[in-house]
Amino acid sequence: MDIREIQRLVKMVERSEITEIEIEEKGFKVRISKQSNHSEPAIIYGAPPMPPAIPQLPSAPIPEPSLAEPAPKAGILDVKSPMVGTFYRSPSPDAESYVRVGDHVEPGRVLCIVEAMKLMNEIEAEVSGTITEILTENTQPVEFGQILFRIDTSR
Amino acid sequence: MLWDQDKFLRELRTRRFGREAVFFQEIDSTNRWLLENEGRFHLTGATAIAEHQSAGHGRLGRRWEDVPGKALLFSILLRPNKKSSAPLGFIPIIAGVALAQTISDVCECSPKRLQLKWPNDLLIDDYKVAGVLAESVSAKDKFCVVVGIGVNVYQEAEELPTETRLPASSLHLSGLTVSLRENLLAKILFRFEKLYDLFLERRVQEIIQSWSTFSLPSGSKFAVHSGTEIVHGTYEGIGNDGQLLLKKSNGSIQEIYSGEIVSETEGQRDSARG
Repeated sequence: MDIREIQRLVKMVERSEITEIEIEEKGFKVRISKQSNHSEPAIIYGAPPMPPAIPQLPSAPIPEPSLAEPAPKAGILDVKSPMVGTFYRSPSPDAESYVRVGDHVEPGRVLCIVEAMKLMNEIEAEVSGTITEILTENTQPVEFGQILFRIDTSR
Repeated sequence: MLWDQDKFLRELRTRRFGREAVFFQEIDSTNRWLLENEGRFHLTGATAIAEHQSAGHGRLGRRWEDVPGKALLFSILLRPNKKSSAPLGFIPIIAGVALAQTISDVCECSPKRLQLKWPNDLLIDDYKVAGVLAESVSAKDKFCVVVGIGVNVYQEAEELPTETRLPASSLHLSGLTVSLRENLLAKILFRFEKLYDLFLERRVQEIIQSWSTFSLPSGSKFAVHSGTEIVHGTYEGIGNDGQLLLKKSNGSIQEIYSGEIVSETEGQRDSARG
């Protein structure tokens, strides 16, 4: 296990609801625990066990519910607002829209901004597909969970 | 005076904020850089500092102008756990509170002269001296927030932007005891880290209480430009999401999540124009 793997585990714990995991592998043991009152993980390195232990797999992290849950129609994904706020289709009033209906998007492509309390939250596509619908007007208020876009993943 | 990174690190009293820090003589935007390079950092509170930003920006892409060496410009990387922390709208709020507390303390400024304008502009004697812009990226396996802060420190009047919504000033022009920027940043990060811990622990009421020390007095008349409308009312504080609570003349409370406070007269002028 190298430092990159440990860093990856720290991030995984930080973002999950796991408060502590311990992994043993090839004579090396690492325990990552998170203080119960906040989500910052602290790394505690353990001494190598004797004799080398059988690797134990950590229990799988509980995945966060995705905001892009499949809509009833197969192949269509709804992109929902993660917060109450204002919907913006472009980074500034004079700029081009991030996306338009018919655009093909890949994961990581910014679709829009939802602003609340001056926090500009860029919403990225999580899937590859074609934008089939934009359900909210620019600068309009949106509710938590409101559908903003529909993406056809088969196209 | 040029930025002294070693001096900044010597002044730092935090556990994690600023412990990973990068400094740029010039960069387009520290917010943009941190959002694009978040994977390089392991700690919450990683900080990017710039002597000059060539494309500094505020809300809705508005330009943030600076004269090299005169302002304190930095961004902080946060990776909150959305499910267990307080609502994310409190991040800009705590940034503003950290600024107000630090300037009140380090620059010996009476809290009466300081005012936090929802959600997070900092005014001294009604002049804007600091601004905050928080940006985040939400995707399946990635969530991080970058909080960009600009504080006008040493500027003279002619070095400040004039075409701004609010008249601008600097700590120096406000007649305050101007601390070195390195010391100022170390103290801001110290306050911010403490407030961020409250945020992670969902101690919303304590955050709201700290905010109210520097906010408008309850019952003050004001107007908000929100979306395409201007709403008039009186200030009733902030709610449990960090939203602005405005009491309308019919007694109902309107919750505002997005918008800009404008003065009563400005609001009337804009209403007449619109």
